[in-house]
Amino acid sequence: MGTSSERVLALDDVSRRFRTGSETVGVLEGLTLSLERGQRLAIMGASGSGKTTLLHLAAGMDRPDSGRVELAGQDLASLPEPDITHLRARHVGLVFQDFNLIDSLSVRENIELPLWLNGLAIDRDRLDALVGLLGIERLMARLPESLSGGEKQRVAIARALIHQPDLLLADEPTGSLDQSTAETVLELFDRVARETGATLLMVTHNNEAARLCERTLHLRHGVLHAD
Amino acid sequence: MRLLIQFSRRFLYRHPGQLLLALTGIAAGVAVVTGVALMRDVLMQSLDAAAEALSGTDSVRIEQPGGPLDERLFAELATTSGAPDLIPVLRTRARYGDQILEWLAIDPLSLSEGGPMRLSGPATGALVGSERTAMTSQRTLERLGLEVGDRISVRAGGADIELELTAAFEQRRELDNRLIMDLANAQHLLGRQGELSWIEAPADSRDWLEAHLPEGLVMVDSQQRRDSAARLTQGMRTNLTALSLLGLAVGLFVVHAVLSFLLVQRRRQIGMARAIGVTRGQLGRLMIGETLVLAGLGALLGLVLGTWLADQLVGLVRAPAAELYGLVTTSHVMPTWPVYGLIFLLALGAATASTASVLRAALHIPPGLLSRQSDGQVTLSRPVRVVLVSSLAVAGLVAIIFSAALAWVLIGMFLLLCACALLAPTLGMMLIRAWQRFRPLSLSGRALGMLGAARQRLGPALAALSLALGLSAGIAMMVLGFRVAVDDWVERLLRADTYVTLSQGRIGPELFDELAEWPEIESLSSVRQRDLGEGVNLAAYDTPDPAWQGFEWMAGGGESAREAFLTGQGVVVSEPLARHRNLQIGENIDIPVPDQTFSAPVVGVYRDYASDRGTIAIHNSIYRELFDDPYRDSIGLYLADDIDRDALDARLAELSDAIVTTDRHEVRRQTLAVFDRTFRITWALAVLVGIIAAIALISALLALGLERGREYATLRALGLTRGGLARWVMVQTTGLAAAAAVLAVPISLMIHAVLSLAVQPRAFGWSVGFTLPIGPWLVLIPLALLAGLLAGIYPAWKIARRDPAGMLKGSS
Amino acid sequence: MKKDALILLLIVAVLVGWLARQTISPEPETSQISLADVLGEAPEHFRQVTEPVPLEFPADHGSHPEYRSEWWYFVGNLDTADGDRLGFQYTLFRFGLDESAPRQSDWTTDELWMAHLALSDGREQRFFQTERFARGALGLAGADPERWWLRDWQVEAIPDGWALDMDAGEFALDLDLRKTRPIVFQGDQGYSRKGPEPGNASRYYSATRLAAEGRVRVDNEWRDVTGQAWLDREWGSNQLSDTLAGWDWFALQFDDGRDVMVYRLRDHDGEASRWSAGVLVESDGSHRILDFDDFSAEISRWWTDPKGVRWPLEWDLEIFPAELSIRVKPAFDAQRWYQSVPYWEGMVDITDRDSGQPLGRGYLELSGYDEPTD
Repeated sequence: MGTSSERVLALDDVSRRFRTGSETVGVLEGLTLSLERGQRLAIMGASGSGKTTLLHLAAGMDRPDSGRVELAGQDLASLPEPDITHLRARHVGLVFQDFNLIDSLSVRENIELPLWLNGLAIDRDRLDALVGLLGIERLMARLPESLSGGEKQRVAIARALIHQPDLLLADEPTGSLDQSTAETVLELFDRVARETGATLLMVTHNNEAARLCERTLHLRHGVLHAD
Repeated sequence: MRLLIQFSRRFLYRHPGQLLLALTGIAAGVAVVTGVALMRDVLMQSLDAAAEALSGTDSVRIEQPGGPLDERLFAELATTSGAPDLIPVLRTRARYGDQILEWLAIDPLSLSEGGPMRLSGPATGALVGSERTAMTSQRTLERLGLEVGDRISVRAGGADIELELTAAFEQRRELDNRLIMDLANAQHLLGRQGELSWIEAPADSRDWLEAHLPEGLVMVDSQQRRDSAARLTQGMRTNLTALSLLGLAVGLFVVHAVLSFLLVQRRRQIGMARAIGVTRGQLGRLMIGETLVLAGLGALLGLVLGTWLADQLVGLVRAPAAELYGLVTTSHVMPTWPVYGLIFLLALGAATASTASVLRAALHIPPGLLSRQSDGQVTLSRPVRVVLVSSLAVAGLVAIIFSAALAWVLIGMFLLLCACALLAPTLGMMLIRAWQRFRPLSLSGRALGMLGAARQRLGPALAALSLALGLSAGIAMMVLGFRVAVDDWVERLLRADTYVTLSQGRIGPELFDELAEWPEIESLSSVRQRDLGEGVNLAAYDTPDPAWQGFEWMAGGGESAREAFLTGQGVVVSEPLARHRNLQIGENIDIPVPDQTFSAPVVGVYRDYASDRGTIAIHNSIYRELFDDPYRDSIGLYLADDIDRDALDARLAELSDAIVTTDRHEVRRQTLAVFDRTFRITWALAVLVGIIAAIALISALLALGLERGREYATLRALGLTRGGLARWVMVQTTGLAAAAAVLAVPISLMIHAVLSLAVQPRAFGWSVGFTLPIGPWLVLIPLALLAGLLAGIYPAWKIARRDPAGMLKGSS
Repeated sequence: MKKDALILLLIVAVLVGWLARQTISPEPETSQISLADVLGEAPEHFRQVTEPVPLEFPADHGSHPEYRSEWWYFVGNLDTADGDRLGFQYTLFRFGLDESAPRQSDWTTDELWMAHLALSDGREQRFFQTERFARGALGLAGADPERWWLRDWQVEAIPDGWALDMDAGEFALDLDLRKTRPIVFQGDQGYSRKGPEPGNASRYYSATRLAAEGRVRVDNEWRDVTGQAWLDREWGSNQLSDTLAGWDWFALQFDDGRDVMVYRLRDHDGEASRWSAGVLVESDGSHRILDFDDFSAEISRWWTDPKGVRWPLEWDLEIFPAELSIRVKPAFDAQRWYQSVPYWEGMVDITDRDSGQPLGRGYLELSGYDEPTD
């Protein structure tokens, strides 16, 4: 895969516009951003500032109208869709605001999903370690709908990290949680991220969450500001 | 309440597919019931339709029991002071091609001015004036592909008669499939001078008639005629009603499935509504209101569809009604408000009842936002379910096995179906999980795994699907099984090498005696049939050895029986007759003979599918003596070996060019053709239920594919490719269809068994051996799988087209 | 939300409407016969009336099957004991049919019989009408010198007249009608010409004044009646030429004992034909034939029936030889037949045209005003 100075994610002059009715609204305008392996970057912004769109572009789940997105050294624009999906499956872990666990799968199956999608064998030690770290050992056989919000997010974090992605993308990971649960989850998130050495791009409007990261950028009107 | 209505309206608008499915389910079920109910009415009215056309709905009919009426009675009555308007009628059946028409000869000048039918001056002139003139309804002409002015040849009274269609009635449905002729012409053409079949009189003339009718004549009112049509067609009608109710049941299962599904989706909202202070009462009213509006609209649609359907079904029932019961039906239904009203209320009631459990579940949802497991879901615990299913099954079996009444059998079958419906989700999910185990780690395995885990969402759909598929397969199996039984029976019955009939009808004794002398003919069998009233048939047989072997004895029979049969010391009866009259071997049976009653013990009960009202068989020599009737309807020829058939045919043709010979294979083919026509309507119902099943299947699968967008978006986000997801969806829909199809197999078997072994004997009086025609499975299972695959294609295509980001947004 | 409810209601209304249509039973079909057509050209095998032939009774009271059409026509004005006024009409028609092949059936017939029975109720202004048909077979209808009948509607000869017995359900007649003066032969000894062609004629005789006595049942109650009736007998084969559209027929009985019959044959323009004629009977029974120039008839009032057809119901008549100038008015307007044959036949009053003095009663028959269009 590459050295420690390897660039995991790069966005170069990326713009993304959406049509609402007859109007075209620019969400991201000429955004440039780069993330080296092991770096942790928080992007803060108000609701509707384009944070989630940025994240979707980074994960190859959406395509920019102009500009270039490079994930794990590959220019996404040059790749056909299945390759982008494979790239995402292999290199990206995703944590969503509202968890997006699959209701009909057990906690264990949810966590193992990325392994299956990448055709990887289950590394039992790693699974146990990760699960132990997140404190969800006793939840493994349960269905997501029986879990509390905090528990769900812990499962989601485990799912995002199980296949050792190069890039962890987190979209408002504490957005759906109450204050104390959010703190606990953030603490765990921090610990797991550090211990796994994951590269992290998190979008949030929560200062506490942003504090996990070495660097924080602010997204206003589709443009990144460093302050 | 306004807000609440808004709430349900928004929700339903967001799920138009589900809404449509619920409407379709109700409409389809109601359509089948309406179609069959209206068609039943046509059957019931068919004995009366002509009377209604001639003299109004409540006419009285003057008949001579057991024979034609002397026309002089009409003249006598009509010229007596104070006489009501009387219409003389001579009726016979005429065959045109493979269609049977009722030939009604009347005196057009006797039609009363206030009566329902009047002929125009020119029409009357034409009918009376020219000898071969007949009229029928415009619709009948269209149906037969004829036009006014055409000359047709019909077969009536055993002769071919040429008629000319001079005019058509525009509007009169009662005259569909009827040929109206002048009495003088009909008597002349049919050779029935002096005879009337009956005299029609208006209902209010009863008192006058009672005072003036000579002894020995009877008055039959319209109720009695309807009753006798009802008795005649009872078997066919109950059978069809049973099937239509099954259709409705399937429709209701679909409704139940849809509403349960909507409830699962709405649990959160209902919890929230409860939290903001909506009481259970309000919630209950809202949901009942929803159901009633949905069911009401669906039922109305169903009535409309059903009325259309009934017209089509009447076309299917025409041939069997004529062939089995001698009833000529009209070609269009005549709906009434009471029929519509009753079905509408039935549909509303049944829909409300079928959603009772959904309602109960909704009312149990506690206030508050919730997502804890099974909150508010009334899921039966496993032991409760086991007890419920087994008690339903036991009660159903008891009702079927130990009751002689058809109604109980139907109730029993319904209970069994309920048990199946309860069991189907669990079994289906087990199946799906079992399939998953083949390749648990593959994409298909995981897709199936996810499907198998969604019991609550998919359970009702799975139940509805497997029942619908099972029903249509079961009905089809019954028909096929029955056909095998009839084929075996015909094969056994037809022993003679060839059969002789005369194109001019009955065969005189000279021909029989002549043929008996021919060396190339070893022996002769013969039959002469006579209607004993109410569809009961008297058959007089000549039974040489091989012909006697043709009887398959259900009870009695044997050499001693034959001895008694030959000497008039005993009669044999068909199984339906024995069953209807609960006759045992040795019991006496009375046969009405002119001026006396012949009574003899039953010495044998034989298998027979020719008449569901039953047949009494006596030996021809006894018959000739009793009825003073030397004629025969057909003769069977048992030929010596090595006979040149062509030479024989030539010799027969030389004897008379009216002789028609039909070999046994042809007779068998014709019999099976009659059977097939009889069961066309059953096929139609099986197909209808099948269509309901298909609607349910496709809608459920589409819903499955479309309603789980978020899950699919997550999978895409986690790295499942488009192609992978498309396969995923299709594996799921096909898996569900497959589970339903597999479950349908035992259900169809059960339905086949109940219909063949319990319903047939009770409805028609005959028993049918149980066979296992698997044809329907071979059709339905691949069809279900194909439907599953096809139903997956659209959502798969739709989902795969979208970027995961959009899907995540769109579904959140 | 209101829009939704509206759409829903609309759908429901459409569905219910469709269902409602299915439950409607069709109306019976009928069509009407034109008498003028029936009385027009007859097939050749029928005999024609071409010259006077002395009539013989009672034989000529019976039917004459060798001619195409024939009728026995009673009308009369009656009074009940309590002063109510009734009118009646009983007509028996016979039409010969075209020749056809013989059939093995006793219903075979070459005659069609029709009977019209009507009762006018002057007080309630009600008009009851019943029509019947029968074939001339099996004794269902016929006319011999002693009896003229169609099913149970019977006219029987009694000394000096006829007894009528007929029940139409809603009403019934049981009347004895006795001749008070000799039978009158119309035209030339009963040879009544109606047109220029040799066959345009009929045999025609009348009993212009019959004393009626008996009872009438109406509203389920028998009421005793007395009054005066009229009998017209006519037969022929081609009596009306096709230039004629119909006729207006007056049968008038004056209080002074005179009887007048005139018929006004109309061509298609409504003009009176030269062949219009009549008879004037004096109270002593003597009579003189009236021809076209002996009378005039002017319409003074039209009536439009509920179907929109106009009928001339009031007339000013001048009978020159009798020095009569009279007005003829219906007892009430609605005495129109709506059955197979559309015509107006009802009781009328006669008044002096100048003084308005009542002079007698009679019957008026109007035909050819509502001819079928086909």
